[in-house]
Amino acid sequence: MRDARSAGAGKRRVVPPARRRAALWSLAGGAVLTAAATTVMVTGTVPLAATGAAGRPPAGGAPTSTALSPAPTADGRTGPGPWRDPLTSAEIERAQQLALAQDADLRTASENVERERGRPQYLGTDLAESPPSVGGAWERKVVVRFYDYSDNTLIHKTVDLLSQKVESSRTVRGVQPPPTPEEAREALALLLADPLGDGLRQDYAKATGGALTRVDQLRVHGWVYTPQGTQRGPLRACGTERCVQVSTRVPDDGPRIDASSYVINLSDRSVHRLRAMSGGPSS
Amino acid sequence: MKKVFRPLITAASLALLLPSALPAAAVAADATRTGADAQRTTARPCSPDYVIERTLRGGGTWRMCWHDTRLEGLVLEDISFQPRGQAEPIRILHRAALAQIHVPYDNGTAEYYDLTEDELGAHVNPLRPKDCPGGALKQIRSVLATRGETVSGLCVTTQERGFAFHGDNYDLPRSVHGGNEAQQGQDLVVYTVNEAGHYHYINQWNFSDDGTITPKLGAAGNLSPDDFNAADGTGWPLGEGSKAYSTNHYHNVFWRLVFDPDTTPTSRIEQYETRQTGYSAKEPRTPLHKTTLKSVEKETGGLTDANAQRWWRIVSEQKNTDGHPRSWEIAHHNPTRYTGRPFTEKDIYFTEYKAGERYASDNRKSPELGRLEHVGQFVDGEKLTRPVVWVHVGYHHIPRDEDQAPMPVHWQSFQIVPRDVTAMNPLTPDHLRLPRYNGDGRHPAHHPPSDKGGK
Ligand SMILES: [Cu+2]
Repeated sequence: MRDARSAGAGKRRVVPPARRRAALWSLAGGAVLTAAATTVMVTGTVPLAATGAAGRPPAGGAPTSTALSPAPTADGRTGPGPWRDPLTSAEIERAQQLALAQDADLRTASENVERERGRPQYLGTDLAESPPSVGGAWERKVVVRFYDYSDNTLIHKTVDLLSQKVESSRTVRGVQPPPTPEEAREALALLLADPLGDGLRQDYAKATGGALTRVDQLRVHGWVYTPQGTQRGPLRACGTERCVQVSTRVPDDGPRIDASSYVINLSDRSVHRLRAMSGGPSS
Repeated sequence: MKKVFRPLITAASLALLLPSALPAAAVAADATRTGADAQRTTARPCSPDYVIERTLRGGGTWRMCWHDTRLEGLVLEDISFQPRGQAEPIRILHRAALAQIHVPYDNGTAEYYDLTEDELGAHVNPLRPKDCPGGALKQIRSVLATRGETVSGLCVTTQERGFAFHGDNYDLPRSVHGGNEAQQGQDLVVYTVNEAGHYHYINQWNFSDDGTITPKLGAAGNLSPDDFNAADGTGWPLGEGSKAYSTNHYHNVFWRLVFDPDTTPTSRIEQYETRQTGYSAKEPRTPLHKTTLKSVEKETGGLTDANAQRWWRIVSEQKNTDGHPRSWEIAHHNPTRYTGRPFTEKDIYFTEYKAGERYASDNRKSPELGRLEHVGQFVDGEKLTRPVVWVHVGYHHIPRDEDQAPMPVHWQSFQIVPRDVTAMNPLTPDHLRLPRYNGDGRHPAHHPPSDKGGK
């Protein structure tokens, strides 16, 4: 990882959350399930029939030939079918809905990177591994990943797309997956809103002759900043909190504008400069 | 309190992860027993759009399903090979994918985990037709997509690989086959090009017409411009004079292989070693060697030691028509073993299958949010009933002037080689598929007089 020892003398500025607004996701059926299951880390199977959402066709987007069809065979798992196809957009959207429908806390109390309440930060959805079994049965489950900025937790929910059930929910603190493009853009926005962003603005002006005023003037790529060993100073919370670094470049194959000496703590929305520049985009 | 924190993997949670696996398996087994060949070959767990199926020139057919994940990228499942003349496909792998690319720099300034820190799998480059010669490009999900959510990033093609065999069986007149018995080999080749920072990795799988699988990772792209902070001993001067030292680093690549040979994951692992035991009594005192077998019963890590000539095979419960257990050998050696981290200490690991053990390192980001950090910790002496194989191939990259720019591709690979899967070479021409060419060549009944006088 990037040299943690150089991270001592950053300047800490807390930027107030932008665009704060309460936003509830409208869910299929609009039902709210007050599942007590959210109080344990690994929850059991909660039939989604209780939410009125079970058996619905995937919401949103035109399902392709592989979206949730054909219907499961008698045992729900075997036989020819699209069980192991790449996920369709409709399935990914459906999996998010199912994952949230069961979790009232996540639907109401969580926050995304922009600090919108009731919207956990969506990180991604993957087709889950189908365990090897004698005779070769296959499953179609997905893992939906969220980050909750309200309490710095990473949440993985396993959803069975055939039964339309949330099968388990896992929560952990101190694990920081790579930032999404959305989070990287927010980090750049925080940097640009900070006096520490002056260097970036100057470099941009030098490279392009124009003024850098908006995030969308740059392509941004982010990665997680993880301090190593015992850490003092303003970045010591990184790891437990979600800190990222970004690299930027002018769109359409323009020049790189170096920003890798900054660390943006997305959890407390503060911006820091590493004492000595080291490291950069991965490998 | 909103969430309760406690250890992630418990027996109960594992049970939750595997609902109805057994009843479903029973149904599937019944279907297999009663099903016709046709049904078995078409009963893929994916739809036709996501089947990769290719009959190669030698007559063998490879079949598999593919999908993608954001970290691993290309995942191949249900991989089978049907040798020419075999009534049914022979299942080899349940699932195969990359498990980590660990890139530590020699001067300690950087240590990258390209799968888990960069979501390598989500960063699939679009390919042009000329990037996939003779093949077909398929759409695959990528965050690099500029329109929609996918790029034409998966290439499925064939490649020549030179001689598959070249021989002379002596007892057939040469006029029968017009010279030596010889055939050019052909591979089914599947790849994506994924980027992590300045590197482009070619995640390639070759499936040969003789039943061999060659997973290979090509490191390409550009040297990281941010890692030019080395000195003598930790880097190499690039560019004019010696102003800039590009930092030496390792690419420690891991693959994770979930075998289910002949459609059962309950395979065995065997370890073989060959050592010199002495010399023959007579002059010229020829060195004697002995190969010994050790059954690997429990989770373990192993070294591809040059002196012991150690290798492993995954042994099926099924036998070939010669009565030998079918097996697949891991043909592997690790040229530059990185000793700096516990998960790179061994060249190969065998672990009991567990959900939540997905990445060779940085595994707490596994879909199950595994409690354990790396494959070294997965190995804890548990009995192996459904073994998972983790193969580690290192490479110490000392940059050279030629690495700029773009960098020439450097490959890291190993092979999964069939051992006694078929009774003979699956490419053996029909006129040689005779008992006398299979087995004890000294037996008179198998060795009619030939026009060349024999040996
Ligand atoms: Cu390299």
